[in-house]
Amino acid sequence: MEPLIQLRNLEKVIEAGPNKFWLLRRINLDIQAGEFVTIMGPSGAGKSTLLSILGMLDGAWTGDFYFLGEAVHKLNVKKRNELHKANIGFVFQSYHLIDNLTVFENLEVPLSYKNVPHKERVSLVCDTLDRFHIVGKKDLFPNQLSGGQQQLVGVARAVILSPKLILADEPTGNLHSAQGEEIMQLFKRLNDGGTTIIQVTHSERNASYGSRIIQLKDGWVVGDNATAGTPVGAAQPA
Amino acid sequence: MYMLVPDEPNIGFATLAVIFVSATLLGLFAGLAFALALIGLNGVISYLVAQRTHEIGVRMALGARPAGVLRLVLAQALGMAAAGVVTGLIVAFFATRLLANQLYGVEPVDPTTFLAVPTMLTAAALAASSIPALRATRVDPLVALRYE
Repeated sequence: MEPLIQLRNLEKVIEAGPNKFWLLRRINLDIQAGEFVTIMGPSGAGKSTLLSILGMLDGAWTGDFYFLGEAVHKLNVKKRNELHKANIGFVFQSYHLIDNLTVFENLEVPLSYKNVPHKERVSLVCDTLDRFHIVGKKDLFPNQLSGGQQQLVGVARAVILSPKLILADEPTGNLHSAQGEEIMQLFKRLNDGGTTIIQVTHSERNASYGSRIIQLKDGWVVGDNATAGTPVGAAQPA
Repeated sequence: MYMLVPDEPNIGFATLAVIFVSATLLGLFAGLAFALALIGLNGVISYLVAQRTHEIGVRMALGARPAGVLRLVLAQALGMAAAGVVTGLIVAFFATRLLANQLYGVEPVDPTTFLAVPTMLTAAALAASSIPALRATRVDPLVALRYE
C-alpha cells in the first residue's frame, strides 16, 4: 500500500551570514494512512519545523516529500496549497481561532476557501457543531469560551472538511489535564474513524494515545518504533 | 496701479484677480486635503493589516490564497472609502445649496460632478490601499502563527 507520506533525505537549513544551521537532517520517514504518530523530542529538536513541512506551510527545504504519491517537492506554491487544502487539517497549541468571528463563522472559514456553496456550508457547520456538542456556543466569540472549548472548536474546524491527515502541534499544551484528556480522546476517536493523526507533544501520556513515536534530537530522527520495514533516519549523529 | 484701459475703472480686474487667487488656493487646499486623505487611508490600512497579521496567517494556514487575502484587505478599505464617500455625498448635497448663488453655469447638484468625484475618490482609495494589501499577501503563516 502506498504510504500517505514519504520523506527522503529531507533537510531544512537556515543561513545566518556565513553560518548554516540545520533544523532537520536527512529525514527518511514513511507514514501510512490511518496511523496515529507522535513526534517527540526536546525543545529545538525540529518537531514543529517537521510538522510545518508536513503541513505544507513551509516550502523552504530540500529532499523528497511525497504525499499520497504526489511529489510535493516538485509542486509550485499554488498546487501545494491545493493539496494542503484538500487533505490536511491543523490543530494548534494556541487554538488560533479568529477573534472577531463567532464559533459558527470560525468553522465556516476553511469551507469558504474550498468554494463550498453557502447552503452546503451552513449544513456542514451545523452537522459539525452537533457532532462536537457545541451547538449552544455557535454565536459566541472565542474570548467567551474556555481554553478547552476553544480547542474543541479548533479541532472541529480542522475536521470539518474530513481531511485525510490532522496535524496537531502541542494540542493540549494550554489546557488543564481534564480538558487535555477530552481532546486526546477526541483524536483517538477520529483516528479510529480512519483519519491519520500526527501530533507533536512533550507529554508521554498524550503519546500513549498513538501507535508510533518518532523521536527527534537536534534535527535528526533518533528513534522510531515503527513497524518492521519502515525506514528510520538513515544517518544519525554519533 | 496699472490699468489696461486708462479710461475704464479697474474694479472688474481687481475682483477677477481676487476670485482667481481664491479659486487657485481653494483648488490647492482641496488637492492637499485629497493627498492627506490618501496618505491617511494608506496609514490606516497599513495599521489594520499589521493588526490582522495573525488572522491573515490563520486564514492562510486554513487554505486562503494570496488573492483571497488581497480581496479581504481591499474589501475592508473599500468599505471605509464607501462610508466616507456616502457621507461626503450627503453633506455635499446640502452644502452645495448654500453655494448656489456663487455658481455659474453649473447646478448645485451637478450629476457629472456627483458621479466623477466619488468614482475618482474610490479609485484613489483603492490605489492607496493596494500597497498594504499586497504586503498582506506576503504574510508568512509560519511567522504569523509563531509570534501571536
